[in-house]
Amino acid sequence: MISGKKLIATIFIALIILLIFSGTAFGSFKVDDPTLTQGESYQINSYLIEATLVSESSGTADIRIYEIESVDDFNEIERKMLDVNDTLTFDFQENGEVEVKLTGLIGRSTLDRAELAIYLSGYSRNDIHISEIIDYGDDPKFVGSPDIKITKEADETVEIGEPFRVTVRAENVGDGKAVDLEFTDNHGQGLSIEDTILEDKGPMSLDAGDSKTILIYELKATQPGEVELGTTTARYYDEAGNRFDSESDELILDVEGTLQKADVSISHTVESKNIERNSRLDGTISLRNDGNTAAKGLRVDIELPPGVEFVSGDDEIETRGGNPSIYIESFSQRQQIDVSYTVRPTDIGEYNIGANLSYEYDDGFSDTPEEVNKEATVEGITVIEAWYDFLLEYPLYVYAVPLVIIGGIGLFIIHRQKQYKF
Amino acid sequence: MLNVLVIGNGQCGNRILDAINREAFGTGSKYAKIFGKQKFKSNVETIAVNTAINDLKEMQFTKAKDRIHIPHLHGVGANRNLGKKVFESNKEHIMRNIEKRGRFDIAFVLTSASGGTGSSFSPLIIKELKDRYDFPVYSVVVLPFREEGTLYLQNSAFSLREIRESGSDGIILADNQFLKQMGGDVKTAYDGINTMIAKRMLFLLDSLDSEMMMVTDLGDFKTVMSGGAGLATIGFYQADQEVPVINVIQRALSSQGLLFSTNVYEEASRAMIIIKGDRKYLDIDEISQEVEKLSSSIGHVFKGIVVRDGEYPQVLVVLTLESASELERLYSAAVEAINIEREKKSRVESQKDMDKAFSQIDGYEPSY
Ligand SMILES: Nc1nc2c(ncn2[C@@H]2O[C@H](COP(=O)(O)OP(=O)(O)OP(=O)(O)O)[C@@H](O)[C@H]2O)c(=O)[nH]1
Ligand SMILES: [Mg+2]
Repeated sequence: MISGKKLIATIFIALIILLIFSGTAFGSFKVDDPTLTQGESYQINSYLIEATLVSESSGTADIRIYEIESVDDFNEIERKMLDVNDTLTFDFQENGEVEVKLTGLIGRSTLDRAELAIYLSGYSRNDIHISEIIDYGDDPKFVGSPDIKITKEADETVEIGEPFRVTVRAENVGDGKAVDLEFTDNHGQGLSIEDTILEDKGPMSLDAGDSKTILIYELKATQPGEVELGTTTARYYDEAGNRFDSESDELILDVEGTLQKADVSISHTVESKNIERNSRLDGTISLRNDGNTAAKGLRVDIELPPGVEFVSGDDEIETRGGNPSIYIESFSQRQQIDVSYTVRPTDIGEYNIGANLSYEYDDGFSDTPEEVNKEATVEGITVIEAWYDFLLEYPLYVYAVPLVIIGGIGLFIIHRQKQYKF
Repeated sequence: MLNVLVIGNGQCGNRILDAINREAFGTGSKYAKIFGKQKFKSNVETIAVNTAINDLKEMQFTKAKDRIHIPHLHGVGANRNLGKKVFESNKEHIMRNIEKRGRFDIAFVLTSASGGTGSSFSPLIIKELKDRYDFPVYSVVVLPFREEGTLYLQNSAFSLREIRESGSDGIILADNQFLKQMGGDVKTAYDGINTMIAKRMLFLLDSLDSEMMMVTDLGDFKTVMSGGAGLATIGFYQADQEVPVINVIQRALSSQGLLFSTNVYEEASRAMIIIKGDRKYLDIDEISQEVEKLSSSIGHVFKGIVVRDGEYPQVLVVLTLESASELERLYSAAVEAINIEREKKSRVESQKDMDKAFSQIDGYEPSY
C-alpha cells in the first residue's frame, strides 16, 4: 500500500513533470544567444531585436524592438539602453513575453558587438518559425497573412431541370502566401450535379494577389422555388503555419417551372365486415390520380391472408400464382377507377386484406423515374360460422334425409301442378 | 270395380265436370288437387271437350290431359249447325282420345242444351259411342234460363230431340230456370247448380259401385233409366243435423231436392232410391213407409241402404218420367221462339226489298 506521504510526493512529482512538459507554453526557454554587430538585428517571427548602438568602452548596448506590420512598415514597440546583465522585456504576440539579456560586449576596431541571451515565455517553441540574425541593410523576413476570397457564380434565376453553370474562383486578397490550400464544395439541396467541367480543389498554394478558378460544373434544380446554392470552403495556412478558413457567400437561386408528379390515392373498402363463412365478400379498390402527369406501371397487389380465397374480379385484375393484382400500364392525370373483386373466406376468424400500391412517374427532368409505394388495408373482417355450417358437423344422413324428403315433396308438388296446367 | 267415363262438352259441360272432379277430392280446399286424392270408388275417367280455350283454361280440378281443345276461334257462338261441322272434322281426334283410355262399363255426357258447342257435340259423341261400343251412355242435359232468349230455346228443343235420337240410354234433366232459386249473380248461381249436380253424380256413381248388401247396382240403374220417355231427373237431400229419415226422403223428392221441376207422384214411372247414414238414423219402418208411398203411385222402386257410421242421413232418388209438363211448356215456348226468329228473318228479307227500292234512284240527281 502507498502511504499518505508517498501519495502526496507522487502527485507533486507528477505536477512537476507536467510543468516541465508544458514549459513550452508556460515556462520560459532560451530562444538563442546571438552576438549582434552594431546595426544587425535578430528576428523572431514578426518581431525584430535591433542592436543600434554597441559600445564596449561605455559598457552599454542600445536595443530597439520592432513589430513588423508589413514589408516596409516597422513599428517600434520598445527601446532600452542596457548595461551588461541588464534585461529588456516586450509582449510577444498574444500571450508571449520575450526577455532580452545583454550578457557581454566585445570591442573591435570597427563596430563593437553585443552578446545577447533571448528567452521566450507564454509561447510554444514549435510556433517559432523564424529565429535568425538579419545583416545590416537586409530586410527582415516578412510573413504576411493570406486571405482567400471564394466567389461562386451562377445565374440567379434558373429553369427547373435545365442545367446551369457554376463557377468557383478563389483569390488571395491577403498579404501572405496561402499554402496547403484545399477546397471543399457543397452544391446545395434541391440541386443535382450534371457535369463537372473543371475541378482543382487542391492542395495547392496561392501567392498573395493571385487568383485561380477551382471549380466549373453544371447543376440542375430538382425542385421549384428558392434554392440555396451550397458554399465552398477553403482551408489553408500562411507560411508561418497558421491555419485559416474561408467560406464563399451564400447564393439564393430562384428556380422557375413546375415539377411533374403522379399523385395516385388509393382507398380500399369491403361491403361488409361481418360475413358468414363460405359466403362471398365484395371489395372495391378506388384509385385516383390527382397529380399532373401519368402514373406508369401502376400495380396494386391484393394481399389475401390464408383462409380467404380469391373468387373473381373486374378485368383489371389478374392473378399470378393465386395472388390477385391490378395492373394498369398508364394511369393518366385526373383518371379515376373503381376495381371490384370478390373473395370467399373459407375459415372463421379475423382477417385483414391488404392492397399495396406501387407506381412510377417521370417528374420531367430526373434521369430515373420516381417510385411511389402506398398501402390501404382493410382491417378486422370477421368471418363467422354460416347457419348451415353446423350441418357439416353432422354425418351426411342427418341432413340428407330431410333434404331428400323436402326435395321429394317439392318434385311431387311440381309434378301435380304440371298435371293440372293447361 | 266399374270403369266410368264422364265427358263434359261446352262451357256448361266443362264446368260441371270440373265440379265433379273438385267434389271428388272431398275437401273444398284449393290445394286438394296437390295433396289430396280423389275418392272415386270406381275407375273414373273424365274428359272435357270445348271449342273455347278459355273455358278449358278456367278448369282447375281436371287434369290437363283430360282437356281436349277443338280449335275454332272462340266457340261456335250458339250456332249448332257450325258446331256439328266442327265436330265432324275433329271426330277422330276426340274418339281416339276416348279409345286409348280402355274399356268402360258406363258413360255420362254432360252438356247444356242451349249453347252451340256442347249441344251440337253431345248428340254426335253419343252416337259415335253407341256405334263403337256397347256400354250404356247417359246424358246430363242442362236447360237454359227462360229469359236467355229465343235462340237458346230453339237450340234446346232441337238438341234434346237429337240427343234422344242419338241412342242415348237416358237423359237426366237439370233445369237452370228451376234451380235459379240458388240466388245471387249468374256466376254464383252456376257454381251452386254445378255443385248440386256434381254431388248427385258422385253419390250415384258411389252407389252403382257398392259391394255392400242391400244396395242398388248398375243393373238396377239401367232398368230404372230404360223406363218412361227416356227422360229422368235426380232428387237429393243431405241432412246437416239429426233429422228423421222420412223428412230427408220427402225433401229429396220435393223442389228442394230435384234438378228438374216435376210432380214425382204424377209424372215419374220408375225410381231408384239410395239412403245413406249412420244406422241409428235409419229407421227401417219410416223408410219402408215412404218407399211404399212412392211405389204405390209410380210402380217399382229400387231401394238401397248404405250404412255409414257417424253420418247424418242422405237420400238420392233417380226418377224416370213418363211425362214432363215442364218440358212441354218449354217446347211450346220453343215453337213460339222459332216463329219469332222466322218473323225476324222475313223482316230482314223485307229490309232487303227496301234496299232494292232505295237502289232505284242510284245514278239520279234530284232536279228542282
Ligand atoms: N248450370 C250451368 N249452366 C251453364 C253454365 N255455363 C253455361 N250454362 C248454360 O249453358 C247455356 C249456354 O251453353 P254453353 O255451355 O255456355 O255453350 P257452349 O256449349 O260452350 O257453346 P258455345 O259457347 O255457343 O260454343 C246457357 O243456357 C247457360 O245458362 C254453368 O256453369 N252451369
Ligand atoms: Mg262456350
